Amino acid sequence: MPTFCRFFTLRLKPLCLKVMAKVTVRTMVLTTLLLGGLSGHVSADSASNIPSNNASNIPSNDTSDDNWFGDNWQFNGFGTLSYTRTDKYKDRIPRRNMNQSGIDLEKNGFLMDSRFGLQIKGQLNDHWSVVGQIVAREQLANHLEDHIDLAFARYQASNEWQIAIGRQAFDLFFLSDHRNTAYSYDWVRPPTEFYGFMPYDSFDGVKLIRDWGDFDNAWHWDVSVGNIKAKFDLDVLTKSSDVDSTKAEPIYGSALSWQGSQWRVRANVAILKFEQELDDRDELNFLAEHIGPIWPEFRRVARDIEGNSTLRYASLGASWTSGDWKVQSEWNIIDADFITVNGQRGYVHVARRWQAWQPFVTFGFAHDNQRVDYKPPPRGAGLEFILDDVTHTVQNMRHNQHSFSLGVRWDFTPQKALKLQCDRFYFQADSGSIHGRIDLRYTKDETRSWCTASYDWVF
Amino acid sequence: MMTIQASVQRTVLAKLFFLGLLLLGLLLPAGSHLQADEFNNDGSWLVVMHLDSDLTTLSQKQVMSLFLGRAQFLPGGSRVKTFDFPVDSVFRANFYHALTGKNIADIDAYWARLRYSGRASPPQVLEDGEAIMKKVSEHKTALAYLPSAFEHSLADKGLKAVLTMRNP
Repeated sequence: MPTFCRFFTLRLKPLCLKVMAKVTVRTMVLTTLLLGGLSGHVSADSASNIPSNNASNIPSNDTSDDNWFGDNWQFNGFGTLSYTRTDKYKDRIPRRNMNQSGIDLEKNGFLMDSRFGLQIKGQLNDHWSVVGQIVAREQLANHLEDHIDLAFARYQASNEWQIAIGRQAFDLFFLSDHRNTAYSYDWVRPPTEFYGFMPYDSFDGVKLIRDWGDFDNAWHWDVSVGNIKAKFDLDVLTKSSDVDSTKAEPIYGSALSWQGSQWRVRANVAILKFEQELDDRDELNFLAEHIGPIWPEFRRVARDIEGNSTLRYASLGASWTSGDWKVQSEWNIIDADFITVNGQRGYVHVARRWQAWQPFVTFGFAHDNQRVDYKPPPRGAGLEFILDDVTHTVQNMRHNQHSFSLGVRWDFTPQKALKLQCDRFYFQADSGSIHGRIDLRYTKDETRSWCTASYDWVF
Repeated sequence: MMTIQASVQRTVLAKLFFLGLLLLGLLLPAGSHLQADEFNNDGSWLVVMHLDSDLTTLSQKQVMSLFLGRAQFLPGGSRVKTFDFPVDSVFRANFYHALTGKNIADIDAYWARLRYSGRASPPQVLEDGEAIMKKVSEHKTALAYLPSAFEHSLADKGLKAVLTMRNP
């Protein structure tokens, strides 16, 4: 919800939200037309004024003749305008990420993947640089600070070592630090099985980085410590005002990657200690107090739902490019103490370029353990319905599905691309999904298809 | 009734918008991707450095690493400064294809990944070959490329070629 709408009375609040929704869409459309379509390459030169040469080393202090922001400052941006028929089905709503509101997406097919980002980067001296990035997009958490993806200072201690402090990307997968810049990848949106369940783009903390190698091999290693706060929704129907937030503090992460001329391989590990901020924690505790004496296992149920718990994450990714062919795959495994996601996710992606055209096909999957091993309540206690309810709820939080995506990217002019992508999902019974059912009844296998057209640009 | 009307309106608007996007793509100057540069090129490329540079030669793999930001330092340890033609230059598209075998759209996507992660910036874009020669002549550790048509001007401008490449 736009922050200032909170100040209106109940009668005026819906009107405020309606107006804001329209303003947001109009702003996106106008921004697209103005910056993406019409301005062309106006800022291309000024955007490239620093001839930095390594993905993680000190940019030089060289100057640009036509830089708007001074010798060592760059101002750039990116955007995506896309449309999906999100109201195609009356019983399921697609989402890009679980940090989005299904209700809002269903009403407006432009919101799911459209986004617009601005970035400023400054080189203060040979050692210090700063980066700030803000991204406008549909999500449940809608304060200004929730849209700031990057805000960090980086100190280059030596040719190999640097340290970054502030809000920055949390390394969990290939697209960790650029998944909002759709121009940089083939898809309209990254495979949702793999990328959609993690509602974080960045963390607040410290990252220690080492880059080394030679002309044949580039190595990168980093280790991160910090915290993450996010709002997400396991169902699709929650409004931003109703959703629970979650906080992970501390989080630890480490990434190791190697890049050769054709191969890129990376491995990530992370540990996140979660604190759930449940609005109805008191009600849950009340229930546990009263049901616990009759059915002791319910205390464990309450603990799992309340969930101050730990998530352990590991992933492995490889990308191979040769000439016009590209093959990329990532796989992860999640082991969590709490009752939601617990399993494996992955995808395989193949693309082939023919001049400006690049068709692609992607297979994605998510497989969570569906076993619910709570001991049943005593017979005759009349609490079986609670166990049934808990079992369904837990299963609905877990994902068992796979999908095939077919798409094409058309780079019709420099730094602009049109994409068309169609996804066909196969949902298993007794499992939820980020593309959830409105009635939350996951009783049978289902298939659904959605297509999306998008326009991506960078400047 | 209102809901149906609104739904129809949304569908029509969405279709119109999609058509608008397609038109926008078609109407944008299609030639901008391949606009004529100031010289015709025979498909040969010179990778150039300052005449006083200690380096006399670079391999294609070394040049690729330096232009793609995978390496930051020249052999010998100096920090490199790379320069580039404008994003819509046919020279740029052809050079990167000769260097990497990739379409320029792949190169642009690659740099978008690095730039918008806040990690690095692509080579500095200059207006044309003359501007590139001027810049390289001012920096001993500068690295740039030029079409072979510039070959005879190099010595006069204080430059030398450290690699000659042909389009595949």
